[in-house]
Amino acid sequence: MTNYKWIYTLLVTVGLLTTGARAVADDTSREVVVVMSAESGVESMTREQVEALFLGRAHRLPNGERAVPVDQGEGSPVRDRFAREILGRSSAQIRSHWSRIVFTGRGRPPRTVEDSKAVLRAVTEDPRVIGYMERKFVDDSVTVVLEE
Amino acid sequence: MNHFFSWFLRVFLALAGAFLVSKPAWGQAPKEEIWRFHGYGTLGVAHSSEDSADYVAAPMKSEGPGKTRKWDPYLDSVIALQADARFNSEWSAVIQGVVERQFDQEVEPDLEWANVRYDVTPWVSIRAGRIALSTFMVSDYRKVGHSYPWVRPPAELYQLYGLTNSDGVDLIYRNSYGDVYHTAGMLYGRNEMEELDGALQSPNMWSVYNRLEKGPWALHTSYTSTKLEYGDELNLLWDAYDRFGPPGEAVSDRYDGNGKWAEFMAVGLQYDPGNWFVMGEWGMGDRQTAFDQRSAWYVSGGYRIGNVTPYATYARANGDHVEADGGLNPSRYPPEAAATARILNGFLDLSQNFTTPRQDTISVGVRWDVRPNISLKAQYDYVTPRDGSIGLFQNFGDFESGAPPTSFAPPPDEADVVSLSVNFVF
Repeated sequence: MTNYKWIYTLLVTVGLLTTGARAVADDTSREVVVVMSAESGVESMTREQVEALFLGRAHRLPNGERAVPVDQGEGSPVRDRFAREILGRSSAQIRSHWSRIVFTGRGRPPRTVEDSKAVLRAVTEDPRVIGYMERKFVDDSVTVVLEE
Repeated sequence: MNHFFSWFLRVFLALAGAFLVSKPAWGQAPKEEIWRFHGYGTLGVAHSSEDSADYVAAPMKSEGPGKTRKWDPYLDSVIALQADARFNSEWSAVIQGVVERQFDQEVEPDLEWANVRYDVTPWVSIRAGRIALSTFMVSDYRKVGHSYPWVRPPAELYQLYGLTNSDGVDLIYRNSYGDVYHTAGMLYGRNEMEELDGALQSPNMWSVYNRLEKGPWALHTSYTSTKLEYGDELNLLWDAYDRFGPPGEAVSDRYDGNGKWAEFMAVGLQYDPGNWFVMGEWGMGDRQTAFDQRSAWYVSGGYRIGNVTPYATYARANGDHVEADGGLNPSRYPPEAAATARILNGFLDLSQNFTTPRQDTISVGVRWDVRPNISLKAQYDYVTPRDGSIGLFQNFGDFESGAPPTSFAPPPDEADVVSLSVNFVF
């Protein structure tokens, strides 16, 4: 059967594509932390709670308020790291996940802001906002509710 | 094709185009916007080694790779645009237009869904309009190639129930118990099946579904009851049987599904901890006629290595039709009537064969996420019809030239199908 040759070629291609594993330099100031306003009254959250909010499964904060999750721009290193370390998924998997929800009219992904500074602004403006940023941007106005 | 939809889609495309040009960095706005525009698409080609029949691996299609075309671009290709609106925390709306090759062998736009939603509480919403059906685990997004690993959902199961939407109302209930997320829905509506041009429609349907998610686990169950009404073309067979008097009327009584409620149920289980996944799904349809039950299931698994996901699937379709019960006994009639009876019985068997394929498929494939919103897929299917069934290798004929269906061809023992696709969302 000539298709064996085709499958073999495919497997070799897959092998070649995946050998380029990337090394990620670890540096605590680049760690991603999940934050809310210091006035939100929320002290900490579990990974599952954060995951549920950012994947659109749940819409409420632990204090019962409606949650407003805020994402960073697609392709930004902070977003990729948040996806990998907190949500445990690749950016591609998350995009697939949201396409299932968006294209069936069941919801829309969190709104996005430019960078960690913009997340800081959004969080301090509204106690219902939950976002993530690099640790070095954390100041007194926010509470870290979850770490990597 | 309804002129309103065509008009609507044109306006929608123009709006979407204007939006793309004026605001390339969409989704970057700091404030929640009322309207958002999205789209998805798949461009695919499929090739089948069987050239006496088409491999019709999607419901609501009447052609595929094989006899009609060696390389078929229509089986998997689709493009869609969507606008969704959130007016406030209670009211929202969604409208989606899809362009694809339809059953009537024309590439046409259609309104996939368009509904208004009201969130009564954070846990309960009601919707009215054209609404997605949640029959299968991936049925409400089965046209969104980018959202699942395969080139297309396993055909053995997904051909059992081809409808993807209903015009009516539904109620959705969402809750969480600790880390268990629960969604339940109830739907009532109708589907005129415009793509079938009146050959078949459902004036009433209702459906319930239930979905439980806990960490990597997801369990989906559904039950759908669909009232079916057939057009005049399909009633010709029953009329012909009726002319044989009481024995013929008995046959059409047993087999005619007109006005009956076809039942369908499905159960799906998925485990996806992130780096790999395994899922399985089973479904069974009962047309409440002597055509009897048909069922299918599949299991599929894949492993994610960076952005590359090799996967494999085994799928099987079963039909319970008893041929001994198939129609009139020709030996009881004089030669001419016996010949007619044999032809009618042949049509009956053919209907059975078309609607209840018995077939197994082993698939291997790979999905490569080139970017978060673009994926390439390649899939090989080893398809084996069994027990005398033609499987999904069917010839509906060429609608434009009026060439008739030629389905008495001997079924293939096996066929190799190769498919390639590019999938995107924006």
